[in-house]
Amino acid sequence: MPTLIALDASLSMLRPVPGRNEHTYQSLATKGIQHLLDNLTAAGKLEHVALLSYSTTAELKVDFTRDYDQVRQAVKKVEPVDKACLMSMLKAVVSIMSPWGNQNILQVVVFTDCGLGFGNTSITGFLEAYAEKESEPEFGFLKTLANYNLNFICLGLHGDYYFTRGLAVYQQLLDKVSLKGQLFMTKPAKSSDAVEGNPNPNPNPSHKSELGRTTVFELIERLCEASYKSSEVTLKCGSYFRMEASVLLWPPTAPYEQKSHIFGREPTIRHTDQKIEVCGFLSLSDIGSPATLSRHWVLPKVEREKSGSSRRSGNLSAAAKPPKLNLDTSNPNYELEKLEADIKEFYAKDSKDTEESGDDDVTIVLKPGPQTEQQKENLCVLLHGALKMENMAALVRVGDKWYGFIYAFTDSKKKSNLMLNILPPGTNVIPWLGDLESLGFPEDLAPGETASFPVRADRRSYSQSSVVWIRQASLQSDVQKVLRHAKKMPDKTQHFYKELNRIRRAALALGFVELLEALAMLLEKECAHLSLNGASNDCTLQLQHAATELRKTSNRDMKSMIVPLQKVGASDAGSTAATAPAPAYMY
Amino acid sequence: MPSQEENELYMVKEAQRLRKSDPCAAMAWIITAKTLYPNAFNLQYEAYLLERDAQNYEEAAKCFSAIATNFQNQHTELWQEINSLTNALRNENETTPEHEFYVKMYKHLTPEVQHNIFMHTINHSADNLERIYIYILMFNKFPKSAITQAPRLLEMLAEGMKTEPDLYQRILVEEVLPMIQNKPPELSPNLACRLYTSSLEFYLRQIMDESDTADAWKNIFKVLMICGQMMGWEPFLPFSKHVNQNVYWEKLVDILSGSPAGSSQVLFYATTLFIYSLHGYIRNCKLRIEDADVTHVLVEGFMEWSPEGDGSEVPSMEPPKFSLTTAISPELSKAFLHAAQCWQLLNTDQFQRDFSQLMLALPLAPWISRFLFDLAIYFGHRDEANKLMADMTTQSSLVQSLQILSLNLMQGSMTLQGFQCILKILSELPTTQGQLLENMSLKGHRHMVFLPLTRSALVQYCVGAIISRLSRKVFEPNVPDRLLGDILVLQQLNLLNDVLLTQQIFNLIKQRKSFNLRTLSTYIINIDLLEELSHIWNSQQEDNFELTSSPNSSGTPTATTVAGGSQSRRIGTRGADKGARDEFRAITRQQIARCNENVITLLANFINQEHLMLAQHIFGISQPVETIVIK
Repeated sequence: MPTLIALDASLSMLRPVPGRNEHTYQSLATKGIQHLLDNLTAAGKLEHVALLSYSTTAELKVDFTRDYDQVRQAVKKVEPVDKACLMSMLKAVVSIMSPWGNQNILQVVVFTDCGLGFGNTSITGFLEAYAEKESEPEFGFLKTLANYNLNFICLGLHGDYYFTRGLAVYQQLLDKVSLKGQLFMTKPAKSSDAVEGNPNPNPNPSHKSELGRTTVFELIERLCEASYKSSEVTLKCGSYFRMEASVLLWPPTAPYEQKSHIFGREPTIRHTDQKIEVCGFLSLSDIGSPATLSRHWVLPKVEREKSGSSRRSGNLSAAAKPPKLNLDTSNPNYELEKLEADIKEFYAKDSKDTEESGDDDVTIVLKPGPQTEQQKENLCVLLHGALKMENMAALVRVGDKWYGFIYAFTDSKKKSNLMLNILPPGTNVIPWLGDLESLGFPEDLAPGETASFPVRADRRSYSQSSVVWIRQASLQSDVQKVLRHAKKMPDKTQHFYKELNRIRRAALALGFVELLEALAMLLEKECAHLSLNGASNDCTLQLQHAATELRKTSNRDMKSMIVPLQKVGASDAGSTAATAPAPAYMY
Repeated sequence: MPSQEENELYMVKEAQRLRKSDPCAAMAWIITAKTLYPNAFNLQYEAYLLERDAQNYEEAAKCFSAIATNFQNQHTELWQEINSLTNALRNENETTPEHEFYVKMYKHLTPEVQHNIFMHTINHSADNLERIYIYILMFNKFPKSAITQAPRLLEMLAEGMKTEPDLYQRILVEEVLPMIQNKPPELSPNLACRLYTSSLEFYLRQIMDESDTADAWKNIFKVLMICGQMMGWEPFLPFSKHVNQNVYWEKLVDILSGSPAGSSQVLFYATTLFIYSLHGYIRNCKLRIEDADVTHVLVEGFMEWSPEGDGSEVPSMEPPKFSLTTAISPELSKAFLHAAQCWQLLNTDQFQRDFSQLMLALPLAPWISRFLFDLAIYFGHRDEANKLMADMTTQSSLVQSLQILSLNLMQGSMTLQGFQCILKILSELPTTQGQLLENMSLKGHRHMVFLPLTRSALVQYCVGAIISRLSRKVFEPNVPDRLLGDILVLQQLNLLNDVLLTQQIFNLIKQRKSFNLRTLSTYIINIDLLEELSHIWNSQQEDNFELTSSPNSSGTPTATTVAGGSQSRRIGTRGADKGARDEFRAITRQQIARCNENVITLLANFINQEHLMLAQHIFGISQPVETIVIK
């Protein structure tokens, strides 16, 4: 879930806070942003954060990242420019957020003193223009903006007319344009001198508690409470009571609006259950990449410690002694408990020989002491280890006829965690798996019956990974790969044609014929570009050849293959190059 | 044989001799004497004295009744005793044994005797005030006698008011009128009017002393009702604090339509209503703001001026409107309009003479003069207002300056006197801070403002007056840079109300690519202006935008180059002049740090210090006027 932090970089943010000259509105905003990042860090750095500063224009200081220190450093370097133009900033937000699509909950947190600006660039000017031409394409970005959660951290004093008039117009903006927004502001200090609705050119000496570091932190806490709270569910695996644990889902699961089959009827709002049950396990290769509603981290629930305490010590203090196992033969779970006791005894013997793996944060560390007990008792650790080792995913039930998959996920930082993909409601949502409620065990097969799914995936070559273009970045990445190989010809000629044919077949399979034409055009442009830079003739000839082949109708066949240009051409080019220096020598 | 008189004297002397030592023996002598000589006054009186001294009030009452019945208009002793009796009755709260005796004895007298005592006392008293008190005493004891005797009593009161108005008005209002209100007697019109006027005068003094006024107005309306009953008028509405004045006015109009011309009933009802409205107006002109009494003054509001409307301004014949600038404005304007309504009615031909005489009799001169002045400026009668101002000696210097400034605005031009009044107002600002007012400017229509005498409102009004004179110059060609800067400074109070003017100034700055920094570093602290100037500066990086800091520069860019060549420092945005850029940033940062300063004080200081330049802007004098003298 992405969060875009927008910092007002107008000159009004440099004003000293009345009664507290050690603070400016900008310094308070900086502290607020630091506190927000502290909260996100305490929650596990799950959020992608970007920083945008705006005055007349908006400038992206830090692109989306989970390295919050980048944002912390950038915040300190923001320099106010001139006047704030909120509408320009919101347009920029729509542009910056567009790669995230509409699947995620998009959060925008604006730190501002609610300055309105002056003239036609002001919010008042915008509202006047918007009132008459709401359907103009000029205001098209507002429809996209309506999907975002706009959170305004309003920094100001209620005795300051500059601030209170701004608050009113900001609320008016949210109301008139139908935006999902909320203004977070401090409570006004009680003052008998304050006359509501009257401008006061001389703000009262402010009571210390109205606006300061503490009150700004309170605003951030309210923001986090409203928008950044995890969903807490119970993860259950089988009937054994110790295979059940409370976990946090991040980001929180959103209600799903299920359209009704009856025309004109109101859609049904569905929520995930409070209990997620593991129904079985499937191989990742069988699952493939189905369409999902949302993705969530699955984290063990640990009581949050006070700031300053380390997370590790918190775990230790929260650790509860495991109950003693009484091997009672009349217990229905006797066999399971006996097995558990045997495993513990086995691990205790070999504790000296255990190696600690540095690859994963949540790798099982077999050490004597309570820590070992705590980690061994955590269901997430067990599940993660098993799924990762076996390359499998757990099929889980998140609601009535509503399923998802839990699997081990490794992101770019080489950190491994449990991830939950929530499928659309229904039992037949993955065509190649069939009805999820009809799945069974291989042992249940009747004699002579073969275990298979309705659509079998033949894998003739281990190197032939399937092409998945769900995100725009994936397609772009594959095209970039071809171009990178193109620049390195003739050394990488074989790689170039291999990747080219791979993309070509994927495009043909999807019916994406336009991609071939675009790819040909790209190769021709690259050829012209490389010629200017003095690339080898071999490279340019191959690029021209590939472009020509891509446009041939005969190559629209899946079974055909584009092959490199023959070596004879290369020899001719070489001989031509050898001839050129001779006349120079003769001179 | 001795004569009868000698025998009576002998017996009286014997009784007197024995009165102290042997009262029973004395009584025996008296009884014997009374049997022999029933018609002897001395014997009857002596018998009374014996009973009185013995504190036998019942027997004393019998003796007194016999004496009073049989020996009217005789003997000094009897009058003295009657005086003692009446004194005791008038001071029933006193608890001396003597008073107690007389009060108790009186109760045992026959009603006829009681009544006759009063009548005799009244007829034989030479003191008018004494007789009035006896009348009041009698009416309290014999309410029915008020029906026949009230006219005479009221005439005495009217007579007494010629010499001692305060005393007799109080008696009338507090003692007599309550007694006769149930059955008012019929009086001659003159007498009834005089009584009403006196009551009104009494209560008006009470109101002017700022005591509780609700009771006073309730009483005034009650007196009005009593007089109406005496005169056979149509009854008016009873007083209620919560009744809208329109209700009273409609009732008055209803009565007016059914009355003959010059009717006294309409005169008195309208006068009462006028004074009620006038009081509401005068009272609400003083209001508590920030623990201080603040006076509101009726002044001319500003009319918005736009370049498109130039030349099409036609003075409207409609009366001006009132702007809602403060919470008290609606009440003030309503009271004022109602008073004006009644005033116009009472100054029609049928009522004018009587009304004028009535006003002369009432202590309303300060209110009337204030009201008439406000009425004159309301209707735009400037000459009349100037004439009336000379009569208002009670106004403070601050109020007078403010009203002169308002008259300047009414006539649509600023005189030197008006400008001097601005400087005078700024030198006499009160300590009460107050709030900024809204709705000070309206478009295309004349309007009035009740201006509270607070620092904020007064400075705002003065700034608005100056801007209203200067704003149209911004749309003329060849506006001096200095003028643009000065208007920007003044606009810091008025930024949201006149965006067009400020925008025009910024457009000119962009076109000229130059701006004088002097006012920026001294007087501009408004964050919106600072941001806009920074934006202009930042967006003009590609052009040769000049900022000068010459204090004498006031002309066009050419004049700037010529006049300030040797003194000014140019800060241009051409090239990589980093030092200049840093200087502008430093100035901007410095001003931002001042944004919490009091803008009111800042602008007051600005006008005071730059008044020569402002006068030059307004009056178009080519050279600074060094000889302006503040009166």
